[in-house]
Amino acid sequence: MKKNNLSIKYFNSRFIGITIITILTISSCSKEDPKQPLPSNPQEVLTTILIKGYNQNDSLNTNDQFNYKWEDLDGDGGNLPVIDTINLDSGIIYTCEIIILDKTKTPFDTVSNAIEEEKNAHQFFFTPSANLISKIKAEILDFDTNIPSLPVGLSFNLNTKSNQSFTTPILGSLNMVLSHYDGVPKTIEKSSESDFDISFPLKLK
Amino acid sequence: MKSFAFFALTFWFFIFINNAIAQQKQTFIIKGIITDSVSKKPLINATVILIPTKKITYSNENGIFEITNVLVGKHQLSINYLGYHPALLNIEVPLNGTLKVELPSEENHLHDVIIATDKNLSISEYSLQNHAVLDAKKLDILRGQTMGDMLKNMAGVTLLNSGPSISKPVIRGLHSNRVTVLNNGIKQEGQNWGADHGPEIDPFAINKLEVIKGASSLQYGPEAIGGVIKISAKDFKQQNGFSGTYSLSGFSNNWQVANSLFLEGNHLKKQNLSWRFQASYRKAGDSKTPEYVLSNTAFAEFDLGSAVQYKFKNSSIEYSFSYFQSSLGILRAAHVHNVSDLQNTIANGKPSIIKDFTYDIGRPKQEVTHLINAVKYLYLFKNSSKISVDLSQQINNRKEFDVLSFLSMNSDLKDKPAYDLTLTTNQISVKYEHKKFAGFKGIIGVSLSNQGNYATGKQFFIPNFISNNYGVYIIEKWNKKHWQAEGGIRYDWINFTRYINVNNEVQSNDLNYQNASGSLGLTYLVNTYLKITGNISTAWRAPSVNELYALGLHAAVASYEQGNSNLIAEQSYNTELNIKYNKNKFEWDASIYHHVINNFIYRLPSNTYNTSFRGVFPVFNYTQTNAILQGFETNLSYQLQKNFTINSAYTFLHATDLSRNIPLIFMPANRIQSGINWQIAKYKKLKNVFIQINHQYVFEQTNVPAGIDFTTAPAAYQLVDFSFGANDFTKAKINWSIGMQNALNSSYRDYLSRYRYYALDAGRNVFIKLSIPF
Repeated sequence: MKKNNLSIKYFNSRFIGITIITILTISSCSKEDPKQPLPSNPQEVLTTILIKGYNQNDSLNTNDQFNYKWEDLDGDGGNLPVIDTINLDSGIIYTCEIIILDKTKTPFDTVSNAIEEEKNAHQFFFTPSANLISKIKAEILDFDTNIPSLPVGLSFNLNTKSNQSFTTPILGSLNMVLSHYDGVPKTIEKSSESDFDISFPLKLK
Repeated sequence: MKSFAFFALTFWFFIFINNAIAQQKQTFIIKGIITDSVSKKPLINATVILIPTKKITYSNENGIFEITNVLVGKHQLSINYLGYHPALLNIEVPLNGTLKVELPSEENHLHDVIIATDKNLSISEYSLQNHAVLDAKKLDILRGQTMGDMLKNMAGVTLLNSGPSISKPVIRGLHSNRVTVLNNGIKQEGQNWGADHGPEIDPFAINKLEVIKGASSLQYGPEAIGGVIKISAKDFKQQNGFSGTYSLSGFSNNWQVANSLFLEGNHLKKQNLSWRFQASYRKAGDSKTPEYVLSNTAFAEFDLGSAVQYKFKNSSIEYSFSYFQSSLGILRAAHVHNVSDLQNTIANGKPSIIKDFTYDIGRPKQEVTHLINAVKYLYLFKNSSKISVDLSQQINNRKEFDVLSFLSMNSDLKDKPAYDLTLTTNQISVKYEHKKFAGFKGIIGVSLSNQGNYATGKQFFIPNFISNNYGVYIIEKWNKKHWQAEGGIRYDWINFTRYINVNNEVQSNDLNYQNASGSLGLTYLVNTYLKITGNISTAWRAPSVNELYALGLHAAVASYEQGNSNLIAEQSYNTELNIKYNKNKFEWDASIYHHVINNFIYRLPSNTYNTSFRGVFPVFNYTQTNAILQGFETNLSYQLQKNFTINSAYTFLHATDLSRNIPLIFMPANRIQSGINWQIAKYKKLKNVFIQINHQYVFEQTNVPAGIDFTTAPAAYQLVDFSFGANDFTKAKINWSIGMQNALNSSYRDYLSRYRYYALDAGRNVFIKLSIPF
């Protein structure tokens, strides 16, 4: 009888001991201290979108070149992005290319290279505002390796050769959307997933 | 108004019937003994009321009571003992022998009241707060399904769904941080603020599900202003031996297979040592609507849980461990990058990405683990007072992976989750339940909790924080004759510190909240069948971390969210009236409530927009308002014949933002549920055969604010569920059932389905369930 009690007592103390040790082990193995936060730099950003272009008829003359910028150095929220106004003359074909940078990295990260690598699943769409839609045409120059080949849009023409004449400059905008085709076949229509969607003010003379 | 007319009519009808009971002259004695269901100790001074004569007797020091001069025929006995679940017994006089009544303590929800000598005694429980219970028997039919499927059949409870894999309970329009989930007595602590963060609990391990509606912060801490969901595991085995159950279910809609192994044992001469163990696994593929596959809604879940209890002479100690792991696919088409993408999808009327069925879980997805370690200690004093100490630790890790864009093709970001949050919570609670003193019995308690959140990942939607919560409370109960009263008060202190890293320097902000909660309830037992309960309570809730500090994009709802660290605590005032009637074949209850929440926090679009390279987003701010939620619920069940029962339930809610004088957004639509149930004990070789048909009609939510949501509220819909089953099919005692959810394969969208912008809800689902005890 006594022996039995003893063994139960022994069992109890051991049982409680094991429980406490288990709890302590689990409590102490957490090495992530909330008091030591990591820097909250957004790691998936682009800060700058550049449109570099020149007048096709004037390629040797360096006077008619442009370099327009859409820039948001502090990322989402915070200060509003700084956006240049695109100035175009009518009756001209401008040949343009897009360069996208992440200036939070040193040296600057050219993220548009990733679009070039992933071009079979990406496409740019350029849409002038309603008052300019009949006066400016965007023509994509580069194509992917899908069969049949589909447009990409890292390089494109802005064609202002319309038959419409006007005297005062028209103020409008140019919208640029980068569609991502993930899990859906790429088509010439926009996908439901826009990797970016920005607009430049545009002045056509 | 119709409801009230019905209410009044029913009320008077039963008063009339009650008075019309015929009387006979021959008299007998009723003798019985009342004991604690676990310790088998006699309960002294328990109140025994013989209804309808209203004769009151008390049990003596041996737990024995005697009622003389009882007329022959059917009677009911109401047995009350503070701190124990009351019992309502149907008896037939003369009795053959002494009545043995074993009452379960309120601490111990797992026992039913056990009555001996008469097989046909029925039991009814009551408590002052409005609560609905799904016990093991009712849950058996739902076993294998998700927790959401178990909860949605209770009046006043609806679901907030984020696709077929994630659902959160909504009690009377309130959810997330306003609803506390108690997992075997421990407050479940995950990233509860997220509408798409479901509770991390193995549905197979739920043996009893209880919903307490309305503010119930007293024992469970501030926050629970919407209600509490109490989940209980199976009680420990009481007799020496070893047993178990293997359960297996299959579902056709997403070709889901779910199975679970449960083992339990009890050892040693004095039956001192008991344990249980459960391991579950489920794997589901993409769900289907009647028209298309919901691509990337597959999920998988693995759970492990075990507990061991050792009983000493006057005390017991219990250790439990549980581990939950799930991987949940998020509807691929619900990942949009800006408002125009979202509007295009809404205009198309169907998801933009529909692929073939698969079990693969791609991005976007969630990966969640939850670990709980807990120790419970209980000591019973000789004078029947008791003290209990609960210690627990929970570690919740949540990783959310977004869709890869060209920006993350860079190799070191490719596999990194967008959010990676680790929430560690330590809780200590001490409760002292005092013996009956001057007519009162009650609990005095202290609870302490410490919580730390650690954020890593690509984005910091919520920051690191440490939160400490200290609470003290007292709850007292009193009863006399036909009256029962319960009241309590609680005081809490919350200290919340946020830590952020700005240019490699740690900055911290301190926030402090403190306030009192209280509640008072009163029940009048009109007679054995009818009781009326009134309840008033006040509770409060400190703003949660996302409401204070959220910052960033919410991809699924195309919005930019901004927290507000100047928010103050919500204060809730709830008034409720409940009537319950229960006689023989007829069961009816109705509740009406009026819930005012001052400083109610919710997300509203501001008139500003955020321009980023992703597009233009409406900025949502957390604002405060005075809200009012008014509602009505009623349940009716009638046994038409011995084997045949019909039931019906109606839920109504009207919610208003008083400050802006507009309806509150995202409140569940009103609904009517009706069902028929046919059950027989034996049919040929089958035992306990049942057939159940259930119909639910959900009204269109018309009480919505104009111009805030991206689209209009979806149309009304109806669903039909059907199931039949039996047990003891062979000598192997296999329980089985076959059924169908959404049997008519209706195409519908629920107003509280967060992906209703993108897709329909799931279509027909045929299921087969087996459970094999051994």
